[in-house]
Amino acid sequence: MTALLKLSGASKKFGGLVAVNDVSFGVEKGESLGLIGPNGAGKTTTFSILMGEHRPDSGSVEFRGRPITNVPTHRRVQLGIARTHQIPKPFGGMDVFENVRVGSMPDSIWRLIAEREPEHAEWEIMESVGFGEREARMLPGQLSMGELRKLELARTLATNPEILLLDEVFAGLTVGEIAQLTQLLLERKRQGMTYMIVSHDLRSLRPLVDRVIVMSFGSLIAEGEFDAVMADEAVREAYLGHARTEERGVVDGTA
Amino acid sequence: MPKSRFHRSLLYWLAFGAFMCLIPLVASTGVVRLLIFANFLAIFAMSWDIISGRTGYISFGHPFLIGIAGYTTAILTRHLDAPLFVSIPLAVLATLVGGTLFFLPALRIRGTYFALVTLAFMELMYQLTQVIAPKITGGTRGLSGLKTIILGAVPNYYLTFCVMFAIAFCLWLITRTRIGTALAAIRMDEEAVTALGLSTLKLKLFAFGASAAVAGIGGALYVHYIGSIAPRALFDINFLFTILVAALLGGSGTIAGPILGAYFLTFLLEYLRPYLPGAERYFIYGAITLVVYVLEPRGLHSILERAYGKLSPIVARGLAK
Ligand SMILES: Nc1ncnc2c1ncn2[C@@H]1O[C@H](COP(=O)(O)OP(=O)(O)O)[C@@H](O)[C@H]1O
Ligand SMILES: [Mg+2]
Repeated sequence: MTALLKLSGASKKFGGLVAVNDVSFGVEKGESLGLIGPNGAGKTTTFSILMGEHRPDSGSVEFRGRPITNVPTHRRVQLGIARTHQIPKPFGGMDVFENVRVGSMPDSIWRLIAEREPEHAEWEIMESVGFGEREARMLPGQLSMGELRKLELARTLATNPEILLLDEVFAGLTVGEIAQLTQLLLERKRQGMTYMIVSHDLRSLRPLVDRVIVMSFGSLIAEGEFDAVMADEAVREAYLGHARTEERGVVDGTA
Repeated sequence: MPKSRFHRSLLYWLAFGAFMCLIPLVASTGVVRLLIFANFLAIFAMSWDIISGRTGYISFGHPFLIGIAGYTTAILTRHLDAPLFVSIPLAVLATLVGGTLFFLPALRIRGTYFALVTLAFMELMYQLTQVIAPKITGGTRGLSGLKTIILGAVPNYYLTFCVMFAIAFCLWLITRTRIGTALAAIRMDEEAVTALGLSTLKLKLFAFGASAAVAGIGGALYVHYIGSIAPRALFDINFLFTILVAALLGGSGTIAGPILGAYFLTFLLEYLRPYLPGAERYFIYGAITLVVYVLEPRGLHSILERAYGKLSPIVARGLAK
């Protein structure tokens, strides 16, 4: 069985820093793959390589068995790959609903001008993340961090992706919002959506993923089922070593 | 709800058109001639705003686009004796080609650098008209004695107003569709637009093409209205800033804004002329623009809209009594 999305031998340097070092993995259709690792491990950069926002120094990306390493980002989105950003990037001057509408726009000048715009698909997405009429007319500047994340997710869902790369979706969300989002993601998963999820909140990640891969200092250090990976010595070392130097409780999810 | 808003806006456009058509019946020839210039300035300001107001790519080179159109039709009619109905469309076409050239830097650079490169385009064109083939371009003195389309202030007023109005109406119809939203999204965050699966290249190319076409129409008509083309007045920083200020003062990112700004600025400059005959005028309008900008960054358009919002309930209540 060939992977839906596959990364092979990808490396990316920023100056002297190796952010991603010879990383390979595949995501099967319908699978939900967790990507974890301490801060600065190269998770976000890996997403950027998959999306074509960063060109890898070496290695290749394949989607449905076809190489897409040289395909520009917007084409990859049209093929069915989309991501959310760790730092939400809403269009500040337009309201929430308009933001979501940009996500569903066709990439054709003519269709943008001439087609009537049915709005029910956008409203469905809005509702699925818990946005109603009131939020629809709000500007991104008026939203909380949690709402900004939901907007980022809604806008990305509007591109109708086959595989969704989620970067730190739970950061800044309340317990209630995390539960709501988990329901939404599981619902979509049942409908066949494929995921890759980066999260520091391991406890919230656990029910969502079938499998996890772990990065540390740019390299893949472990791969397997959630609990098995968490018991892995190298993984504990990577997390605890990091927690000790930076005094961050990144392992709290494993408790 | 959106439908009724559409109809209301349509009504405003019609009212504006009807009002402007009545003006020559009451206004003096002097005012009518001023309005002709205002119509041209409105066309140029709308053209500037399609690129700069919508997508945020600030152009300092619009005189370059206007110049391509002006010189093309001037040369074709002057040296080849081409009729206007041939030379003007060709001039617009040439401007479209020039607009694509103009567009190339936008593939790689943005912000201040883009603005500076477009400024360089304008300067380059100025030098070219002087150095390369001055026999054809008329060198420093330019070309004069060009054909005019029609004679008389009032016919020219109607001509320029109809062209300006048609352009404005078309742009309004286009930009109120999703393409307007997409262009605005580019201004706010170009990477995010790409990440949502849209080709920003295509969208920018569209905006640049539309801007060039409008500048081309305005530029070609302009030289046949004044009957000459003078490089020093055309490729002039003051001319450039008049366009820019008209759009910003009126309210960029809208259609009515640049028109409003162009009318306001034309009359302002004219009424300042007796007191400030020289270039000091430009300081004054710089200051006024600054004040308006501080009060309301979205320009006169927005100030009027708000005033209307406050007034209309009062008027409605008055009428109900
Ligand atoms: N655009 C960039 N320029 C330079 N260094 C970068 C850039 N993006 C990321 N890095 C560096 O690459 C490393 C990996 O970053 P990132 O992929 O964001 O890690 P993670 O998402 O796992 O926290 C970090 O050390 C970071 O500082
Ligand atoms: Mg990250």
